[in-house]
Amino acid sequence: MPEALLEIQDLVTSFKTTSGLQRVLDGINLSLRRGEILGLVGESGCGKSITSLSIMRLLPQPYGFIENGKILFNDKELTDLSIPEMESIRGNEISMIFQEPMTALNPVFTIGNQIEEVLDIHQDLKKRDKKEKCIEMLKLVGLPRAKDVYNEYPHQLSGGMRQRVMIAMALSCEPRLLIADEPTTALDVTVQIQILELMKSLQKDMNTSILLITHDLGVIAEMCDRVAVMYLGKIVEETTTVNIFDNPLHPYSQGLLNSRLGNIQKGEKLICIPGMVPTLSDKPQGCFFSPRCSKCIDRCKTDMPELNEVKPGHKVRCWLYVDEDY
Amino acid sequence: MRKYLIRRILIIIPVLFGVSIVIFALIHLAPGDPYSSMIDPNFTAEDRRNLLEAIGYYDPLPVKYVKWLGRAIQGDLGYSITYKEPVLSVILRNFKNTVVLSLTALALSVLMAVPIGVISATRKNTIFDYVVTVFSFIGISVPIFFLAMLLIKFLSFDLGLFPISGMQTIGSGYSGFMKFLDFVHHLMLPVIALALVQMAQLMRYTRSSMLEVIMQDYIRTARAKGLKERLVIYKHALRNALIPVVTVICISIGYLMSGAVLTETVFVWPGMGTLVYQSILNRDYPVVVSCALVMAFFILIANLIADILYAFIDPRIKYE
Repeated sequence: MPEALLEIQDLVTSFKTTSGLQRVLDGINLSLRRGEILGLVGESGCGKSITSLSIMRLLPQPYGFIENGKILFNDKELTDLSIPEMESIRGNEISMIFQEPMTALNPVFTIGNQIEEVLDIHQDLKKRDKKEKCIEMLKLVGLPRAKDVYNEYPHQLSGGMRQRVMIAMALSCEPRLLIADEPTTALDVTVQIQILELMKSLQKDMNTSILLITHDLGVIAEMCDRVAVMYLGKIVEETTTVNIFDNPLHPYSQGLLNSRLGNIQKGEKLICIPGMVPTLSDKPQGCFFSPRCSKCIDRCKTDMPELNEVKPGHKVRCWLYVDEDY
Repeated sequence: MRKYLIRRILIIIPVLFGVSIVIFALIHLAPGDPYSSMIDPNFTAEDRRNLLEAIGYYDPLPVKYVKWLGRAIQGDLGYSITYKEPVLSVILRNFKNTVVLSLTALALSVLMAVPIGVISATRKNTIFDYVVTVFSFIGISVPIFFLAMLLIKFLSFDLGLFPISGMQTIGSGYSGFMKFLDFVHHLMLPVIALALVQMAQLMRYTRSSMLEVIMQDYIRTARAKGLKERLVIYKHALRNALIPVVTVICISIGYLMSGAVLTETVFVWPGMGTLVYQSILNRDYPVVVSCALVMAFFILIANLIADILYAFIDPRIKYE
């Protein structure tokens, strides 16, 4: 088994709010191997994006902070690094692309200027080499008029093109880890597939690991080697993509899979998980999912289960799979 | 862009034309006879009427306007009743003083307010931010003539740091560099008063504009690149935050160029503001009309400058 590139241990991230401290991430354990694509799924507000911002140490200031836990990246403990050390990692060894390509680029600088900025920070290139590298990156992400795009401003490009620019920017220093926070959510369906294929092929060429955050199970099936399912700041299931589709164990994962549109015929009622995601200030006792769970037993209402490895490579946080061979 | 500029500049002409009609009409609607003080009180009523008739006082308003306009286009803005010299030379002399005062105040306020606004936004809800906020609220709410009085009381009268009013020490006989220093010394107090008020406003605008920009996605992108926080703020955020601030600055150029009437009056600074004030009191119609036109002209110019600056700061703005 290839060694882990990113190892998150018991990560607790909290936000200071007017009603006191809110634990957004409640002990996350996650590991990402070299060259692997790991999917992170969950409903809105479960802490997917906060996980990525915690890794980048870009939590909204001054409200968000890492309360506890370790983030080991390439044998470095990210939570201990100084600000300049962290700056030299961002955009260089760990890059990030965001959900909204329409607003993620600065409207007042040219594309070339914004990509070259990353090279300026992390690489020592001559002016002409920088421009060459920049245009090469734009070609690599499949922009047809790379030389023109270099001099253009973000508002002159479409959403898909901007996301390609973001990818070019993120990969220009050949990072070991790319965090993609819902990279295709804001795009047209046809463009979504193009962007995903692009990411996948570049990932193979550069041997970059990807942490792919999404709520779209179709994207997971298309892209990921392994999947972690999150619910209310905790990982509830972690396994291979094949396992999650063929044999989901956690009732929440099962619920997510059942609510896919592909499962139903025309005229049938849509299937959904009953209830709403509780607010952070109102976390249920015991297992956080218990109030919405169809298989809830007495123990679920009092104690939070651990994330146990019930089969090799299949971890789940559920009392149903404790003390018994299922 | 060039086409747009030419069009914008040409538009100024009809606008000024309209402004001149309105001003001319308003002035002549006001009751009173500006020439009463020019004519020897010992003249008989008939002589007086003949004199007034000779200069066209009894002409119908449109005729007066056309006559006036015809001369104005040739640079003859009329003869000042109080100053006993051509209006143009009076205005030029006063305008020079206003330019010095207002540009110094503007430069000072921009140089202070923008950095303070930025720091206050990046350190939102710290003691620094609170102090700045309180200060700018005071600056916005205290009327400038009152602030000017306070400055005179404390800085000039109590501490004796600056002269109370005027542009030079009367009877000092300074020349050369000493004269210049004396001028700067007199300039300080009105500049401080004007700049404080301008600053208070600009700081608020910069702060709120900056707070909005800092929340944008592209700021997060800039940080995710590994950019130093200083560059994130002063390169990526400030450039965007300045767009609305430029509007405010340009509006105040128009306001300052027309002579901050209250400030100039309190400090007896012989600029456009004082000139307008005095001329209205003296019913010096030719001066009032010309001043109003000059002010309108500079407000139009300030707006034009704002539009040009937009295109430089924000590439999304294209003038076709």
